Amino acid sequence: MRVLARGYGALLGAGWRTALTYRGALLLTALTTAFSLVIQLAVWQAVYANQREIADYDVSTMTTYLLAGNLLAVLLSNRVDDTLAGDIYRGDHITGMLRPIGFLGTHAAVALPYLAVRLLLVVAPLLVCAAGAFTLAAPGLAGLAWFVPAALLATTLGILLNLLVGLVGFVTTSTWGVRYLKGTVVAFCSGQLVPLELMPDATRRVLECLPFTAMVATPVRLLIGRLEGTAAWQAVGVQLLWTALGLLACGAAWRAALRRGEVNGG
Amino acid sequence: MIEAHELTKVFRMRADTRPGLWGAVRGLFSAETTEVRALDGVSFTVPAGERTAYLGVNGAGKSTTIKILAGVLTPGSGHCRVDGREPRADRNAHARAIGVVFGHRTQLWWDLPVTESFRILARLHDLPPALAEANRLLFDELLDLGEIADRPVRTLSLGQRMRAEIAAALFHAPRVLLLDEPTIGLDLLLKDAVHELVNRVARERGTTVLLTSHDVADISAICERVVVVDAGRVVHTGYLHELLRRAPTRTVRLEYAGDVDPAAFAHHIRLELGDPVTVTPAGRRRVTVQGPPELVTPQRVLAAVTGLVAVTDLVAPEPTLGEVLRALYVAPQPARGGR
Repeated sequence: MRVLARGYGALLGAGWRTALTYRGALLLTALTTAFSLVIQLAVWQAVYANQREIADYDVSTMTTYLLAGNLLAVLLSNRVDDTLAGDIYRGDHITGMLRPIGFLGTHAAVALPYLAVRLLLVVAPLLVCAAGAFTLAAPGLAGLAWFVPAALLATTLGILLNLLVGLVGFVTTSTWGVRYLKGTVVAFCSGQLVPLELMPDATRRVLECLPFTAMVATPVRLLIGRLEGTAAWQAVGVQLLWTALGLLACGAAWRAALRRGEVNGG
Repeated sequence: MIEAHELTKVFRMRADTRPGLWGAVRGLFSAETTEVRALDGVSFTVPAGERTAYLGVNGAGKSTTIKILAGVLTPGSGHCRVDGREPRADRNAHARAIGVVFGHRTQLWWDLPVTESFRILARLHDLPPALAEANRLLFDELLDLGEIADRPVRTLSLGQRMRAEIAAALFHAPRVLLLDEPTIGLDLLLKDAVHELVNRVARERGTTVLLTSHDVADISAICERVVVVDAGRVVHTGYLHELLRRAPTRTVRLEYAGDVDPAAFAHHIRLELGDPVTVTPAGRRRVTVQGPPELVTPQRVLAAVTGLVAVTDLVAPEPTLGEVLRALYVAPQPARGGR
């Protein structure tokens, strides 16, 4: 156990240094997120020009929702799918399998410092800028207290989903299409762009049965006080359930990949 | 010790590689697959502490075997044990027991300096600091890693990276070393250094070595035994010196004094030694005699020319490993199904 902990510690350190290697990419991520957020807020400002509320969302609550949702989405992009799929595509994943440490755990561990760097160098500065530029609905203490564990679970789900998408490479070889599909589905189905309450009932009911809601809508609803008391417990319980299912799915997919056992590139 | 018993591996590949645009469109609607039988019952043993070359032409199944022994591929059937352990049974323990070099892949961290990769490997393998330092000094002495220690791996040349890769494979003092084309991209001096390093480690630590290489110098310098595989089957196992005796042809070069017609002289020797010996005049008063080892010996050649010319020099060079392997690779093997 001590040896494993030391091993993961070493990988976290390596991930931290690697994440800081390409600082230009972080700057571009910040600019892209800011640009996307400004466009979305401008559209909603126009929508709110003639009405005070839509489905109990006033303009400041909607602004807060979109800001939190888009910044959380920055933390769902962890490059795990990109690196894992690339390794499988080139057959380089076999070198990872030669290390005395869990293969998927290694990829997940490397994502953590990457996300920490994104939190510090992309999310935090954008949050400060947005707080100065827009009128936000101040979240209550309870909302913040629920948001932190829910956001951690959402980030974990993001890692698990990306591990699964990366492992698809064992079947499809190239995962470009799958990753593109995943990005689109997560953006629309997680409630990142439009709160679920504004969607048609049938659509909302379907989306709430999918894991994507747990990745953005659940933590943001908890933050702005839309889910409280029993509903909050239930929402986090559903997140935990999806996390457990994600872990099982990753384990099963990895075992299937080992049985399939092909290595590209000789 | 390495034991492989009746290993098989069949790869299924989509047959959607028809040429041209129309072929690409047809491939979209085709689920046709083809089977490639990479291993067809491979069995061999490498005793503990021995250095064995695992040889064969491209596509013979060498790398597939190495990957199965390394635990990164599952065999279709058969089983293997490396250092007394099934590779897949306890992957972490297996990874600590083996060191692997895949010549065209990197196990170092692409964006980090070489020293940082070694620091991470030391922690992953829970290496005592004294052993890590001793290894670092050894690798620095033989592979001159000092000059590249602080450079990110992605900035290294192929030769520099291969030096670091070999050191990385040996860094945790593995009991078994699997080398798949370990000297790709290295110049002659560095190849010598790698040979010296592998031999020294094997001698001092009793490391078992299995090497695949197309470089005869690697095989001659490192290995005492050879296993030759062809089309997924082992076709020869034995000591290197025994293999050299399997040369299908022997050459004797003769220089002589005296005035004889070269063509008639060659014809005479051929008649004396019998078919399928060939005799080729090679310059002034010199002939090269080639044929099966039992027909072409220095004694028989001397006897054939006695009384005709005065022999001034006679050379019968030992067959090279390259010649022997070339003959072994092209020799027809028993037919088998399905490749």
